[in-house]
Amino acid sequence: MKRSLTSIAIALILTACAGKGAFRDAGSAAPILPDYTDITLPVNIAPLNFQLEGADALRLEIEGSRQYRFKAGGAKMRFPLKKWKEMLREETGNTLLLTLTARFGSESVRYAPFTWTVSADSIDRYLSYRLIEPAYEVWNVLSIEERDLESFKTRLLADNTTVESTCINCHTANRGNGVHTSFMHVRGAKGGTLYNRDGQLRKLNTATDSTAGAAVYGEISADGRYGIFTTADIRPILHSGRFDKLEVFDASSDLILLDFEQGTVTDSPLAKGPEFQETFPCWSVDGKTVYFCRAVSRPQPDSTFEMHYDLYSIAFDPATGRLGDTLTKVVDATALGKSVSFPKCSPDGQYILMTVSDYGTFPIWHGETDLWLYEIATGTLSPLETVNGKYSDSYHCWSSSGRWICWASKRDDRLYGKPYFSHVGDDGTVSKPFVLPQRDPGRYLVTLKSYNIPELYRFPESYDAAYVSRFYSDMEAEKMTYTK
Amino acid sequence: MSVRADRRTDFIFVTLFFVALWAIFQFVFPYHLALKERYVLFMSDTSWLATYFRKPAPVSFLIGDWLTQFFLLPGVAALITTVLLVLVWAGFRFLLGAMPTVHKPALWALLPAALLAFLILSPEVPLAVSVGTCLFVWLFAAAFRIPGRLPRYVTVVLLAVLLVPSARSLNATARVGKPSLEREYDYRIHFKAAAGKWDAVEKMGRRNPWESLVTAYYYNLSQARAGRLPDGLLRAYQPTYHGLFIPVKPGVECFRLMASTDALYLAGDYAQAQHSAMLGMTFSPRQRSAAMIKLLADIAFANGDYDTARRYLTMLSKTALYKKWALEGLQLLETEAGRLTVRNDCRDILVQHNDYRTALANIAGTAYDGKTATDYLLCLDLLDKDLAHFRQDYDTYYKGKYDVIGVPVLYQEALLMTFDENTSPAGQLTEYGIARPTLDNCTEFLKGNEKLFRASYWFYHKYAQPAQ
Repeated sequence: MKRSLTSIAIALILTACAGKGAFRDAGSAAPILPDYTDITLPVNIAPLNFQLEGADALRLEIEGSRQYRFKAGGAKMRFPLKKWKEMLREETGNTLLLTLTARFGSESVRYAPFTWTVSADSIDRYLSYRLIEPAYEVWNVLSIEERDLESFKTRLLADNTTVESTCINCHTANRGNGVHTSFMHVRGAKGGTLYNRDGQLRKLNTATDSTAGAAVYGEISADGRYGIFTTADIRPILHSGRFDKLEVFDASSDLILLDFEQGTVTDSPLAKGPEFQETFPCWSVDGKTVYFCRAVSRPQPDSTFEMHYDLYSIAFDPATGRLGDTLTKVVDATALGKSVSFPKCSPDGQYILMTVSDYGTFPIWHGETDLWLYEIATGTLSPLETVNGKYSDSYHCWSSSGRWICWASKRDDRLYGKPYFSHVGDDGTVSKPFVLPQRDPGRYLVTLKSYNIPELYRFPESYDAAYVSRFYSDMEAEKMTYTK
Repeated sequence: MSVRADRRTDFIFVTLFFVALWAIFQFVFPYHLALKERYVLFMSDTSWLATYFRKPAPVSFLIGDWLTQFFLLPGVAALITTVLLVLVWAGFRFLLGAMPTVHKPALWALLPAALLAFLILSPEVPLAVSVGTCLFVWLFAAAFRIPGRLPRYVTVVLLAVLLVPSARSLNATARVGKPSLEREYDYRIHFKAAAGKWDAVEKMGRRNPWESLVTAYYYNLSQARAGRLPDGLLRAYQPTYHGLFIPVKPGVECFRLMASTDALYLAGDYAQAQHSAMLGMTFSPRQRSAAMIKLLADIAFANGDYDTARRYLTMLSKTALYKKWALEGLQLLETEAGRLTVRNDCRDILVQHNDYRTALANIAGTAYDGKTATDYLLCLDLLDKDLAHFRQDYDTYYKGKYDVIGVPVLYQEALLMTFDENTSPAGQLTEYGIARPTLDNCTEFLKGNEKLFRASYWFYHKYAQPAQ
């Protein structure tokens, strides 16, 4: 009796998987979620688990240098981590052909094959992002997580419930070759900028009497010594009427340069003052140029729709720590009727990836916001048609190798951002994007949090949320001083 | 008295206690309990269920949320909460009964049940608190039955170590407040409106015994829905213009944030309606609400924002009570006819928080169907006693467009107050369609018979005080 029951159970388990018998050809690609069809993936990425709504069983046959088979007794295909890693290692540089068969009740359906190209270019192992409800300008509970891209492990870097519900933003790493530096702003009465240099953590007060507030958007130089930031009087305002939600404008904004070694803040008369708004600065790869967005100041919010930011550059001398004497207009977005934000230089120094929208300085809620690539040598600027989705694509970053880009895309539903990745080829061609894989492939369908400001980096952060809580409550901030 | 008689008395007392509790839940504060449903989202989806296990006290929240979703059904909330409290009482009764020094354990065990009953009546306190307490006390009760003193104590200590941190997290984010009949009235009118029982809303709004802002708000909503906002406006209590829109700002009770969406949605300001629904959900105790997701889906649908609507409808299709509605919505999304409901053709503008006037003027001026927004705008002007703006807005958005089928008496009364004394009265009366009775009433009012015209704008303008 016991044996026959066991046999029945085994038979049931086996038949639960999509059988190898008769099936109907769907004649189209599998509507898997997330869409992982025909993509290029890094050799070290975590398993691209996916689901096929309504399926009772799945069978995936993968043809590469050899054959691989994966089965799932339900709608969710979850790859065993060890087997997945072995497969990617063996198939590095190859294009895999995947055939998915799904069983729906008594019927089996085979979908048109799709491909995965396993790129030998690995991606930076860590990704940080902020999880926040898309309630636009206010927050209740927000956190910053660090995700190990080679697995599904996550770690809480900061949690605002432990820092008096204040805002925490902009975890940004330098992606330098020698030292690892990063910063994160913790706002609030006892807040400060958390500056990490190879594990040595400092709490900095970047506001001075001679500059308009604390550091906001910015980057740390490759050697970790300097930071180029904006000070900005940021004002949120609501859209009324149609699809757009929130507009954020700067009542004023200037560039500031931080010297973390000297503890000083300086600026340039060319990039401060009420006539122009300067924001979103970034370093060139050699650290000798600062790129930033700049617009003629207009009364806001009355003229917010007419605010167009162009891309400018200013020279920087790392030896003296001084910004140059002339500004150069790099991209005339105004002439295109556009506005640029978030410029980021590629690590090979060839490109600047930026966000282009119709107006303003904070385009993450603009449906028309796209990623555009600027080739420095030729001066050509073009939208990344392959990667841009239906809605906002923004908050991008490069991997330290320059072979991968990651950004927050609201392509699926206009509201909830998710981290997407694309491979960048030698010639600047960009592959079809894929979303950050999750252990549970249905996670994005049920989450009420938006993934915000994804940031790639190579080394795990040396702090966690418990430290940030102490950082906020117990540590005194080092006051930086202004120098001309 | 014998021990048996003692027990019988205790039993009667305990029974009466729970019957009284049930009656309070069912008949006095049913909407305090129903409001808990507004702060819960329970999806039958493994990905969603997995999210519970990333936070403390997963089992309590899972059971609590699953039960709470049924609080919308009549009688269910009172039944579930009373049964839970009986279980909690029984658990404590068992534990206290095991202690020889405790006299009348059945009565002492009522104390935690009473405390929980008080917490249950705070809408923001999740049912998980009661479920958690129940599990907690019965696990301890089970541990007390373990034979042998050492294993028993080790188990109890282990349980305490494991469960106390979870217990602490159960009530971490909720606001505890005293139940009140005034709030009950507000909650009740909210649920009547949500159920589409607008006649009941109107009746309750006319009574408004506590002169509540929320009740006035829903009354106005009932009038606006029926296209008679100006006709009904002064037939009920008006806390000046505060009864038209509930301000969205930090610190506002979550329930009010959620309620604030309705008027914005009705007036056609979908962007701001979505904003306040989002805030309602964000500032709910655990940043989730099936009711707000339903509203967000509704708003997105009306706005022609189908991708957003699809996302929310897909989530709701995994809930127990919203499933049918969501599946119908998803089906509608796939059809051309379903997509013809789009009404949003107004201009995109920027507005400061709670600047309703600018937003309404934009909709009134640019939307194809801006009648509701126009009425809200004009009533806002009138309740604010801003006759200059009223006249300007009337001339810009109402005159020649909506006055063809007659001018509401309220507007006629207000218009009379704006007429130019140097221009021919007859010409103005004709131009603005002022009816003879209105003119006669005005004459009577000016003669001093004011009490006859308590529902007139003249009376309001003369006597209404700014609301606190």
